[in-house]
Amino acid sequence: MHEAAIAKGILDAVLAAAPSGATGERRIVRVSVAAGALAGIVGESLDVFWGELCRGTAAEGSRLCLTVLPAILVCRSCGNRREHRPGMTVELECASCGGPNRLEGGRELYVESMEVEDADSGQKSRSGPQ
Amino acid sequence: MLIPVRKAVLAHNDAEAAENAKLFESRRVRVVNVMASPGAGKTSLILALAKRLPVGLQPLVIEGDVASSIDTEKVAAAGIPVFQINTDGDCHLDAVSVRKAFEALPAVPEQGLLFIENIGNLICPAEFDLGEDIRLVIASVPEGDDKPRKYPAIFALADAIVLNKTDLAGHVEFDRPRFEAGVRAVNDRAPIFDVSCRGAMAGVDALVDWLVVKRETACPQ
Repeated sequence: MHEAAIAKGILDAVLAAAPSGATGERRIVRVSVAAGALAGIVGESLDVFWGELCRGTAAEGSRLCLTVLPAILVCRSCGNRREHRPGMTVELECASCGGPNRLEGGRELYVESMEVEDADSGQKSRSGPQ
Repeated sequence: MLIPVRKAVLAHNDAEAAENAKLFESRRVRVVNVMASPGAGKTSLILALAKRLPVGLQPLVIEGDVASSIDTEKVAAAGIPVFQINTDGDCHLDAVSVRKAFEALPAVPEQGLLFIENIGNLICPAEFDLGEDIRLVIASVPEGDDKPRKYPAIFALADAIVLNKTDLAGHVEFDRPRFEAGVRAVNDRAPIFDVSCRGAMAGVDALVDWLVVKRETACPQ
């Protein structure tokens, strides 16, 4: 349920970074967010809070694009590396040599970019990152 | 138009937590953020630690709960200054709520050790810095030995891990080496303290000693 606070943090970040057009604020149409595999973010839940929080702001109706960054299981013995994604089990033993694994990374949580309508046309100019 | 933002989602809370850390430092209070699932024994451990703290080191408590003042009443009955935060549904404490609670505490002594009992939850509290000095994560024997593997984020950030309710080890399935292997898969550095808060309070003194050393290291006399 911390998605409510996460959605608020995203909205604060994009509204602070959004430019104003000659006729007032410019509509935000898409926001890209990166979250590590261990950040515990549920995308569907985040979307619900996002839609509600954006009402009446420049981001109303915008699409939130969440990219999940994997953590990495690294074997302490042979150095074998394996991606760890949400929902996967933290395997204690390396699949390659049976040595002990160590989990690294996966704690990232940041707003990557946003796409706003052009100041004059009111149309978006190009797509953001997938 | 594509605009790069590159800003931490929780930057606001992080900034507030940094303010908390300055406030705690100015009051010479060291702060322990106690995190665990519901029923792991957060309140029991805080009460046990408070009983065994050396003379002159005053325990203080901020209690976080979704609802109720049950834990606060227990802490207050032990004569410990305490303030209750009810989050009304929120699954974690944040830096602003903790600062308000700290400012509402009765007189804060010079030699204080503040325990913040976070909301019972192994997911959300991991994301919210409170300005604490020490992050203490509790797992309890009846929960099973798999918790570090199921909730790696919170065990990864711990400065110390408490395995509580060790007095129940003979009554439930719990593989202690497997638990430790799970901890070590996500956290190389945190010591693990085996503790029971019942009876003779086995293991509590070792944790107190560790906390006192950590406190003196961070806050030299």
